[in-house]
Amino acid sequence: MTDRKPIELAEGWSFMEKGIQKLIRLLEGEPEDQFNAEQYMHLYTTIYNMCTQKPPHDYSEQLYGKYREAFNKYINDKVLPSLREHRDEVLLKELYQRWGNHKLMVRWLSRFFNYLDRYYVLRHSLPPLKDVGLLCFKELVYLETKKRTKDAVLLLIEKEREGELVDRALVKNILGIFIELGMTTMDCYEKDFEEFLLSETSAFYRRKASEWIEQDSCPDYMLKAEECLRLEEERVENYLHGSTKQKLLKEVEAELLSNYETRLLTKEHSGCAALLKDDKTDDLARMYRLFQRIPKGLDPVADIFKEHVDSEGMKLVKEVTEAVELAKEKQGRAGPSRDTGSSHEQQYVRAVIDLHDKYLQYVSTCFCNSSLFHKSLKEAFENFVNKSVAGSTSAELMASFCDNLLKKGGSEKLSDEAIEETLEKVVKLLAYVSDKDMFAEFYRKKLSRRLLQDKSASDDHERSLLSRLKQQCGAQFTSKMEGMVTDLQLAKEKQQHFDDWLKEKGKKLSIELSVTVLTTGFWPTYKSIEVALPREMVEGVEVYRQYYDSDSKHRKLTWIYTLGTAVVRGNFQSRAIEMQMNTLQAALCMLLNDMDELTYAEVQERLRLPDDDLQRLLHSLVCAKYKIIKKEPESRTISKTDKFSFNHEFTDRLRRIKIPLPPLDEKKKVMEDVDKDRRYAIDAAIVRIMKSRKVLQHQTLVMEVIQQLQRMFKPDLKLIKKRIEDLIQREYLERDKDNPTLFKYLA
Amino acid sequence: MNRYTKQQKDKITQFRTITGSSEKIATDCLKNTGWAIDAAIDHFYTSGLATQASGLDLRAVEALYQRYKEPDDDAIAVDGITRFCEELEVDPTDIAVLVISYYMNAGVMCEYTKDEFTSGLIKLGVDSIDKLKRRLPDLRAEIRTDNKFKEVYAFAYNFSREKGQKCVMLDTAVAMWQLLFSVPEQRWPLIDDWCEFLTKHHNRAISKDTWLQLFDFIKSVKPDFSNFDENSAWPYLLDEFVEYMKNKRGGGGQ
Repeated sequence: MTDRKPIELAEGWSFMEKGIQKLIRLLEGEPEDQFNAEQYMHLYTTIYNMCTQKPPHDYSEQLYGKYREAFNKYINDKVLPSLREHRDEVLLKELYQRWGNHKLMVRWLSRFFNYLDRYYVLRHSLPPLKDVGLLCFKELVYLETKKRTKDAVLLLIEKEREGELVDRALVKNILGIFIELGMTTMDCYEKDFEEFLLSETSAFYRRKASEWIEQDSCPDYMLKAEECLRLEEERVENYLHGSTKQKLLKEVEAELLSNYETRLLTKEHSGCAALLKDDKTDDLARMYRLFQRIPKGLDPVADIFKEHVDSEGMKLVKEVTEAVELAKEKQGRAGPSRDTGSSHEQQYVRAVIDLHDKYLQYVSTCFCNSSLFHKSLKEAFENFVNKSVAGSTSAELMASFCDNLLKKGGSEKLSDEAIEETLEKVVKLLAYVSDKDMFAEFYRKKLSRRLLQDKSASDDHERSLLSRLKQQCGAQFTSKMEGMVTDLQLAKEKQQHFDDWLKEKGKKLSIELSVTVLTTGFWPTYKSIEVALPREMVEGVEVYRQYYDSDSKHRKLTWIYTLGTAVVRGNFQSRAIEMQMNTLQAALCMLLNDMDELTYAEVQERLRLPDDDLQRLLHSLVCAKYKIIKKEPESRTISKTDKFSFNHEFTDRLRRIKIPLPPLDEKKKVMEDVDKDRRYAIDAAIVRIMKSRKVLQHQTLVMEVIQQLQRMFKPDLKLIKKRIEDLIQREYLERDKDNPTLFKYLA
Repeated sequence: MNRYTKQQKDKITQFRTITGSSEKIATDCLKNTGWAIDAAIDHFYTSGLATQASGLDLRAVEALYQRYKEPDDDAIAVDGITRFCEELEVDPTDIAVLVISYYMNAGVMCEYTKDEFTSGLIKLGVDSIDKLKRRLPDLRAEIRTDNKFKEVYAFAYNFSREKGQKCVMLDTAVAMWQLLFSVPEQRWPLIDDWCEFLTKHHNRAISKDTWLQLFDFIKSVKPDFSNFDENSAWPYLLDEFVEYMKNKRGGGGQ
């Protein structure tokens, strides 16, 4: 090895030069044979030798420089001039071709000069040969042509956006150059291309949007927007770099959607409100998809949705209020409100249920179950559901509605499944009502009527509704009602006991007596009317009292005759008819067993009833459908100077009739009870809170109270204040001496 | 004197300023009550030290009591009070009488117990009608100051109650308010509106809380109610009054 004569630089280089020229000819497409293995080896070895020779003949440094020069020379001689001739698409083709060639050149030359990479480059921490090659292209070709290239590409993209077909592969390849020349970064791609792409895109869509917004309806605009976004995405997939996707779409969304959102949504006849009115679910779904993309884009849509639902609800409220007013006028009665069982009010509840179903459907399909829209729906319902409807609250109407569904002979004839479904929906609606305690109280009143008069259609439905209410509103809500249902079951058993006891004691009653014992706390409060019963009934009452005392000590029985029923046989002239009537009515009838005729005063003296109750009773037997008592003088109303006698001539084709006693208006009583309960609830809440916190600011106390009670009702701020003052008066709380807005708990 | 701390010395000085007593008495009283100033002052008056200190003739005070008291009852009743006021040459409804009652810490109107009467006179530092007469201008001046007025105002509520009642009847309250707010420097321009509002809309007894809070209200809320916050802890009666006034003035505006 040491004997070999070192190769001189000039000599060695001229040999290399020949090889390079051969390569160039190949690249230029001139007729030339490919390199064979021997030629390749020779070239490689020459480099090897020149690098491993002993100094001063190690030419690594010079060779490294000449390597670079080779590229530069070629580029300047052949590549650049050719590129300068072309523009646009042709330029791109040429550029791509040249790039391909260059890469080949780099590959081959770096193979020849490979030895430099092994030692020289590493030892001096220089860029490897491949990089050097690329850099030559970058510094000479790329720098000069990048602007024209970028312009050419953007022109193609614009053509494609306008609908022409373009050479996608070419664009992809050109962009590949940008990417590769960035080496380890995406700088070339981003700064020399992407930036311009994004601003051109903005400008393009800005133009389009301003045209479309003038001409197109909202749904049409949205269709176009959706299509544009789809195409842009496709574009990215096809020839742009993946990292561009987000930025590009953002530009498009900004120009098409953000800028014009308000105008679009509020377009008359085709904007969001109009779409909702016309039930255009597809368009609404598209609207959701589109505006979901931009930040806070859905907020205005949700607001319009909420407004729409609210106005639909208010429309229902208005309709039913007007219908009821009209009906009232027609009948000429301007009296106190009656039972809300009228069909208008029932229809209202049905309509609200249907409205809820409809828009819940919208939320789950068009609006992809988004929580934002659920919230809008909730707020809209909470608003109109709590408005009063024809003088009654929604709570009351809903209670009546349930009553209708659950009682025998209710106006809705539905299958079991349908009933269960409807009940479920009513319970869901209850979540929107703020005065839940009002609903509970009305429901309880109606439940008691159903249970006591045996008007409940199905025990299963009753129980299922109670368990749903329990789930929704908590056990405290339904505890009393459940107690009522249990009471009734126990009552049946107790009755059996009583009958057994009678037999055991050998007692016999002149009437058949059945008693239902109710637990006071569970049932609504009933006025206990003191009435003088006929002796047959009194006997029964006494005997039962004996039985009851023997059975359970320490309990007091209070008799509520107004809730009782009796079956009385009237021995009329033509035939005997059995009449089912209220206990009080029966008592009245029995009076006429002893006397043929009684004056009003005498009746009152014997029964010991106040005037209004007595008149109601008499009216039901004298002036109503079944006139089983005669009155002198005959007229439509009861007066204190009337005389009453048994109507022998009365008859009816049925053998058994029911003589109802029209119920008193419960509404006022219910509202009073609810108000009273609320005052206690507020007091209890205040004391509870103050007991645990000891010292609290006024504002905080009020807020805590509202929070604790919100499950049942929304307390009035003034009422809370009054209760606080009352508690100060009763010395549960006191104001702090120095700070009168601070309250202290007094143990 | 050297044995006492700075705090104790301060208390002694304070005690002496209030009661006008000697150093020895002051120290004794304070020591007796564990250096609690209020208790010490109380003790001073009730134990008769006051009379010794100020040179008051306790027997003269007693004699006065005997003069006015009911023949068969151990208290001064309406007749006695009327005579008392006559001899003082002052109207029974004069504000000065209220201040005197305050010093006596009288439990109810129209009645002074023996303790109340005697301790009151002692606190005022008088043992004869003449001396009390001469004190009257002082009392009238005293009540104009904010501090004293506040105390008398607060006292007036309990004083105005019927015997055994918890609340003050509306008419009594109105009359008392009129009296109190006629004191110069403590006048309240809206007193008439307030009384009108109450008689028209409230018509029930006045709670202690409302009475006391009214004072704060007058002192802190501007006449145009611009700084009134209805969400604050004012009694609801005051909230309603403000609303009433706003309606009256501006036709229902905010």
